[in-house]
Amino acid sequence: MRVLAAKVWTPTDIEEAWSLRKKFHLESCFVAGGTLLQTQWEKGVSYPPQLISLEKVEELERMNYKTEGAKRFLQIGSMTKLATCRNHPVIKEKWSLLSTAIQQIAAPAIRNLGTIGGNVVYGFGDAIPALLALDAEVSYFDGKTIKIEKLDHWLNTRQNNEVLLTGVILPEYRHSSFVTQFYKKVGRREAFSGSVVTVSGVIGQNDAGIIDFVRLAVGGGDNRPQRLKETEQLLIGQMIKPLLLKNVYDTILNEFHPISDVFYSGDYRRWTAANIVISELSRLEG
Amino acid sequence: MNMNFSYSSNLQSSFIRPDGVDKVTGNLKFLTDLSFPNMLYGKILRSAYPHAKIISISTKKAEELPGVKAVITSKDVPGLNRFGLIFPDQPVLCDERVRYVGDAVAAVAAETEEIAEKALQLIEVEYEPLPVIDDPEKALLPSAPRLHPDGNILHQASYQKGDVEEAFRTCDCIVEETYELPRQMHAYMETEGGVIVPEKDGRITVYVGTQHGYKDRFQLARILAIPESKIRVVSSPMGGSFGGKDELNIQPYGALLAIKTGCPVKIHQSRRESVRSGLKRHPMKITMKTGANRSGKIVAHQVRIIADTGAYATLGPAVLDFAVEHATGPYIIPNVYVEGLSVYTNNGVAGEFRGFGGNQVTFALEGQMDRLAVELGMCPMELRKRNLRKADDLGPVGQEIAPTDGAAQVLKAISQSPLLSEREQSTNPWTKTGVGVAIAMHGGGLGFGRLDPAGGRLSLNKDGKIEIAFGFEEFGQGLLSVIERLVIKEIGCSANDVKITIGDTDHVPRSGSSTASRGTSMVWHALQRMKIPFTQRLLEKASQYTGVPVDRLYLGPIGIWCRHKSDSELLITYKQMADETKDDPIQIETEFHFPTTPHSIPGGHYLYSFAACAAKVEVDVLTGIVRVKHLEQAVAAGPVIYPTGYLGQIEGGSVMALGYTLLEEAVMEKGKYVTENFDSYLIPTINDIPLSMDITAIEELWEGDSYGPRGVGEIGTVAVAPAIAKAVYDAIGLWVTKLPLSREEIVKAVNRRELRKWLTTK
Amino acid sequence: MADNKIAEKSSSSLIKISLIVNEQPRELVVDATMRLVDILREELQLTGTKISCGIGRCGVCSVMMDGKLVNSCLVRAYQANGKEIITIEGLGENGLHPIQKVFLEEGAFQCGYCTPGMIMAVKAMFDQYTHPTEEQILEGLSGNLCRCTGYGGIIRAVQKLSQS
Ligand SMILES: Cc1cc2nc3c(=O)[nH]c(=O)nc-3n(C[C@H](O)[C@H](O)[C@H](O)COP(=O)(O)OP(=O)(O)OC[C@H]3O[C@@H](n4cnc5c(N)ncnc54)[C@H](O)[C@@H]3O)c2cc1C
Ligand code: FES
Ligand code: FES
Repeated sequence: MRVLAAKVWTPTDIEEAWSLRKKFHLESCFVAGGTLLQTQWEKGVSYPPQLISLEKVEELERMNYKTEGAKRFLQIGSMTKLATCRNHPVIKEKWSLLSTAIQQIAAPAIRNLGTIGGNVVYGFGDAIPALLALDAEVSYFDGKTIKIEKLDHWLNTRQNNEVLLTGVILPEYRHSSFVTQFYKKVGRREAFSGSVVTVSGVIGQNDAGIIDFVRLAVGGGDNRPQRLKETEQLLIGQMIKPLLLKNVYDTILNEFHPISDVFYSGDYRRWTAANIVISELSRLEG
Repeated sequence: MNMNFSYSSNLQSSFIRPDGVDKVTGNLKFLTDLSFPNMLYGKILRSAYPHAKIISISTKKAEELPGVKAVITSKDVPGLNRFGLIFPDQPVLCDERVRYVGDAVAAVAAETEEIAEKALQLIEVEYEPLPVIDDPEKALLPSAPRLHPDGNILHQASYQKGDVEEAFRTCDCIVEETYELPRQMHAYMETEGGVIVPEKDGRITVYVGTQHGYKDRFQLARILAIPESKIRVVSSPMGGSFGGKDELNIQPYGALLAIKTGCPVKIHQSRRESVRSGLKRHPMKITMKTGANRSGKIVAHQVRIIADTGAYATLGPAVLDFAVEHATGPYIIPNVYVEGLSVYTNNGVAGEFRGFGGNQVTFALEGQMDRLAVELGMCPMELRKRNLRKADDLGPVGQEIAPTDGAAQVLKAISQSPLLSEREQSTNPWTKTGVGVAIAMHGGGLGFGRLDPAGGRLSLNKDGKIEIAFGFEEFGQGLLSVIERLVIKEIGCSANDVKITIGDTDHVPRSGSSTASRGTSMVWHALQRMKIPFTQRLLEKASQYTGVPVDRLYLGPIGIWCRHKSDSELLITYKQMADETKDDPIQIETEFHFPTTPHSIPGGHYLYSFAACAAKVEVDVLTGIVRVKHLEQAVAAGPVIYPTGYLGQIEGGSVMALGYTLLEEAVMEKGKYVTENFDSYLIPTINDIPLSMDITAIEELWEGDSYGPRGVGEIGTVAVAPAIAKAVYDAIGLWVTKLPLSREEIVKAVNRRELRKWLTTK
Repeated sequence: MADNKIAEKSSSSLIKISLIVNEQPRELVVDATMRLVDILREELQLTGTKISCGIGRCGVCSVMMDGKLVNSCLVRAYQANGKEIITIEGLGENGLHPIQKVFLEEGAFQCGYCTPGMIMAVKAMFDQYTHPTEEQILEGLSGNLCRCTGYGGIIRAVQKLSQS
């Protein structure tokens, strides 16, 4: 669509944005960078007559590296551009998995427009598997206060579009002796394509090589990113051995049931996800 | 990783293309960049169904929308409501029936594009959906509805030599396989469009890209029921075509609307509209049965081709003829039976696309060669060599051709590729590497029995420029550079002395179409015919004016030079000569026909080019991803005229073919496109290409060959897919029969072969 | 919050925007949701910026906005308001830009339709890295499709510039 038959609102703070949303309700939607929305509009997907742009809400674009008690974490405002996240020195150093993930989203010009919040609210964004593996939290405004909850929980329970996402929070996780992390996106081509399967994981081992924590997440295509909790359970307290790998393979096939599209079948996605996880684990074989 | 794009030394050059500066500065006006005072915007309503009867069309509401200036339907077509390059069977605007989702039903001109778009939504069309034929084999069933009065077969073609049945009985080894090739989209970056302007003198000017301006003029005159002389077609420059803009696209709608409103009308299709209405490469299903004796001599080859030509004819018959002709490629086989069917369906419209049916059939043929080699336990290069044509053998359909040993040249060149000897194994436990080689033969020109006229004009214009005019178009292939290089070489002047005129029917002679790898060849032929008379006349005149005898004069930079014993001097400039000859300007025209075989075999070619491709791939056994790491091509197509253009055609063609092999398919479900834009129709990005490529141009022609350079627009796309497919076999032992190559199939094959150890752990 | 405050901040469909295009200040009254690519091509007649997919998937519409590469088909008028835009026309104002020169010398284009966007992407890359590595080149140009060249000439051009 070249021109939209819609009004654009440009609130400057969260409360104002929220009241506009309340006022117009179903007649409206939030627009962040608008990159995902443009893809939909061009396809002829209908849009509401009131567009509430969040671009002028400055507080949503802040990044804070904080310590609260024993907890150290990074707050990333939802309107932070993907490019900013990808290149941010603290993210590169402490949460490089996110930087790696974002590097594989779209292309540089789109990352200069698209936001981390848009990617998360989209629900299928490629940043999500990495954020799940990093045990990220989200903050959102519910009309009264800003609430914080685990992204994993939020993804599974949220009411569609009924919130204003204010940020993503990355906790500094407990350090085992050895931490391995990976993010693999299998697109339909080498770069600049939607994901067919995305797999991400963070695995910690103690000095004896025993896995003391693990988070694995998968997504891709029209499949909502999810944690592989059964597989995680299986791995906890174990050392990587060929037999365990075989079990992990079967468990992933059991717990991940992706849907098919015209390009790739659900089976392909399952096999590929399982293969990637196993290939990563097999590096840790002791 | 080490990016390296190398090439043979004869492809090195430092010429700057004539249209180069305007292209890098953004100053070049493409025809879709033009605008005119009072210009309106046109939009075309395409069918809502792949197959339906039209019950009624009501345009009333659309007409009443403020800002709408005209709405047209079939009733507004004054002349023939049909178009088509070979025969006109496609409705300009459908009246009774629609046969694919790109069929036009109505069109609108309005003050803005937004209003035009809104007006389209207000046009009420009542359809009665009809059964959709989405597969050519279904179209051939007796129970299938007839898409055209003569049934569902557009064209049949065959070639027979010897007796295959008999010969198969004597074979020691027979391989049989069915290959499936996808619907590829041209994906030129500039979608179809331009402006049609009604002129004060009652004529119209059509500023719309095409590959054959005169042909558009002819077709438009027939539709508009006005004389051709009332139409001027300006058809250059274009943002890519690859065969896809040879047929009419938006021209008729723009012209009808411009005439009806009396205003210039611009139409520039969105990508989505382009995907829906535009041509594609023919999907083909090809079954080949090939038999050889133990020594590796192929004795029998049987081929059946079914092409999905979609709803209308366009160049479908010629594409099928081409595929049939090239079904034996550069090999000499005593017993051959090839039959081809081009079948109407409700899937898009398939037509001309770089390679013209050769890509599909070569993929199958080279696949057969590799399978035979494995069955026979023979080196695939050796097998090819044993069956290769000799320079003076007849052509693939038994026709006389210009003698050429191009096939042997490219095979020899590729045999020396370091890829074939180095066998380093990958260090990554999850990847397997493999190497494959394939060769291809490709005919140039339209072939026997097809009107294939060419011509050009060379003159000294009044500004003192040596003006050369052709009815060709520039769509990126570098035709302007080819013309400039050739004029400089053949005439002796400098680039500054040359003015090139192309792509404007008011100002150029008829040269035929800018297709079929014929442009470079035709420019060269035309210059061979024109250079002597032109030079002679110019020198004679110069001699008259200066009194210096002709034999001491020659054409050089700036003007005519006089030779002295040890040096030479500029005697008279071209500008001065132009002033002197203004009453009797010097102008030479030529008309001729593309060289064809003397044998009356429809579509049979006379001039061929050849390519050999070596590809090295890495197969990721975890994901089935195939990465082409290195690609080499050796091409034999005669002298190189414009090195950068030649290199660009082969590199660009290689990557387009890589896309065909690994990524590209315009997927249709029940006659509707699933891949409607570049988010789902994927062409290679810079990350998908082999990061190391090497291109070799072999210029040497067979002794006595007087036909000069062959075009290289298509040949670079043909041998790539089979080379990659063989490399995949080499890596993991899977024979690929279907493109684009399926990662899923690879992962399954790997699962079956238990290449991953955790699958076998007990 | 009072409703009149909301009214103030709403844009009726038309808004007045000011932007700096190729160093020239421009003021326009356009629809708030008009795409930047259409503003450039139609309102300002800067047709060097091209349009092809309209969804950010090809890069032919790439321009610089406040020093960053963006797809002008994804930016709407209200987003461009107050921004500084550089298009291909703004690049070679004092003779050819070095990127344009190497594109000419190395055959980095054929039809030229992707070229303005590609050159802007190359510029953005060189603004970020003076000597881009292979990975940086591949990432930097990953959003710009070229159907003609197969990218060989483009890579040769970028490598040449990087070495100079
Ligand atoms: C060419 C192209 C390529 C792409 N490639 C990828 C890819 O590889 N991987 C990938 O994951 N995505 C991809 N995308 C999708 C998209 O660009 C990204 O997911 C991006 O992060 C979305 O951010 P945005 O700010 O543009 O979101 P918008 O388009 O503005 O919004 C997306 C959705 O989120 C809602 N929303 C946004 N922000 C908030 C908020 N703070 N609170 C509440 N709701 C909100 C909007 O209402 C809308 O429904 C691509 C898009 C394009 C155009
Ligand atoms: S037109 Fe903007 S990216 Fe394709
Ligand atoms: S030069 Fe034609 S698309 Fe790049």
